[in-house]
Amino acid sequence: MKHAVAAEWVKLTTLRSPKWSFAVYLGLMVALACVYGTLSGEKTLTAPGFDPVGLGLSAVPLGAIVLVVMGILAVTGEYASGSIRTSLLAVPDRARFYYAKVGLVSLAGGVLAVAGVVPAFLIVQYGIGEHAAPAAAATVGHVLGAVLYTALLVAFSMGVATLLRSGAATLSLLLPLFFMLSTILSNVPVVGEAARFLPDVAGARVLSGAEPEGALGPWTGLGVLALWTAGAVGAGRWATVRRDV
Amino acid sequence: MIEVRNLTKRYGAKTAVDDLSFTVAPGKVTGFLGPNGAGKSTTLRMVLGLDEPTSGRATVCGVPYRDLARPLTRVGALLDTGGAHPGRTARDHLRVLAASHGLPAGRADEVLEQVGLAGAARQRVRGLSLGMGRRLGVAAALLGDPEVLVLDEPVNGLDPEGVRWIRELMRALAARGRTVLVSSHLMNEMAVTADHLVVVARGRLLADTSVDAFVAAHSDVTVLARVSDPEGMRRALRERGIESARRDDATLAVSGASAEQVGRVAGAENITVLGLTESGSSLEEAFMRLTREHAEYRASTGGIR
Repeated sequence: MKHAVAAEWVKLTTLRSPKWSFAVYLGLMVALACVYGTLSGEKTLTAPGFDPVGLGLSAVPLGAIVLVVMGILAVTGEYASGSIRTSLLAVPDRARFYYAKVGLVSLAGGVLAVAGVVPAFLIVQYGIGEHAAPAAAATVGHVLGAVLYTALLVAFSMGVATLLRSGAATLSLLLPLFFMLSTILSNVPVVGEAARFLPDVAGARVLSGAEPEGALGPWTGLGVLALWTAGAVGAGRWATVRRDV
Repeated sequence: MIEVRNLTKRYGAKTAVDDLSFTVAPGKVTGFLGPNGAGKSTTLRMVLGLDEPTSGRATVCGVPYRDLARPLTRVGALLDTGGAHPGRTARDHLRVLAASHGLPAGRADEVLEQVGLAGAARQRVRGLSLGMGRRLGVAAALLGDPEVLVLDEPVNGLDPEGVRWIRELMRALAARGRTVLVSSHLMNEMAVTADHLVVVARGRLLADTSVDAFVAAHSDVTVLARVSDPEGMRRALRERGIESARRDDATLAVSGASAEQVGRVAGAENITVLGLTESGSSLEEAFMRLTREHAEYRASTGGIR
């Protein structure tokens, strides 16, 4: 397993696109934090129920998309180029190959999320000065949750990508889901109740410091995302082990 | 050592490989020969653990490929599809493979040197020519210094220099006791490269024999010999069990013997050879005849429509 992970590390660090993803992600998180931290007007900050934690983490879903794309391409790039065959000749234990890839890339996503979310959060809190979130354990919990949310979303997307084996198919399924569908469905009565359990919607509960409305609290929401992730990663494992390449 | 036993692969109703059994021995080059669509690549992918057989089994070094602990140190493979990510440099492609086995990155430089690609080490794979890409594939196959080599159509599309390089490399590896299995759809290429032949068509085994025996059995060559004493030559040939017929005053048509054999007979009998020509169907034609009734895709002979 150690060597399989090492090989995935070399793969991730010897292509241009992941490096671009890292740079774009960090740049995006900091830039959005500067915008939220400085341009939020007095009216917003003093409004009843203002959520400084939520404001500090509001760039997280958009930033996560960048790392999600990186994770998807790490999977589908191998199928598109045929290098999957070379990879499986080197690591013929399919489950080991798959877990090494999903594990390492998701972990890289998590590490990057720490490097992106923490400064972004601090920049926003600094920017809004006296309205900032209290330096409490709950606040730290939300920031940590945001990091987990990002890493889980990367792992979830890699599982789906392994099942579909196509970058275009995976992106055209997941991006509309993450960007629009979840939001639209959440606002439709009845369906909205179920839409709360969609992976990104449930996971995003942890990004809000406000009192939870409805069934899912921040950590149960993250748990729901974790279940989705386990399901997608499991399905990807099945596809990797059972299908010919 | 590669062993294929009752290997079968079906895709829906279509049978790509049909109850195939053969053994590939070390120390020689075994040609895996068949027309396009014969199931060669499918068989090799099953040998390499990439495709799961519908039934039967294939083992390398005594175990299924997927059970090899450090596969690249046991088996080196060159696939016809390249298998390197276009965005990675040649050296990085090999570094990934080296890392997967805990081999030092320096090993990548060694094999690049060995295949003559040291100068292109930092070039991205998408920028490599077909010949260079093939050399990179060979470098990947040699990375773990394996005892078994599986090469799928290695000379396809290569220039004569590249063809000769691959041929000499395979001969050299076999001479060092390695097991070399090479697939091809070109009989003539295999006749000069391989020691042993496994011939398939439509997924079925047609022949498993030495190249010499295959040539003797399937080439239908007539030697035209112009000699100083045709009648004496006929007698001498008949004594050795070789039939011949008079063509004209000085020419005999000899069947069932090579030009070399005919020349030697003449020498032994002190008959002067004025001319020797081999004619008749080539090995390539013999191979096509053998596979014709099995061949799935017959070349259109009706010209361009």
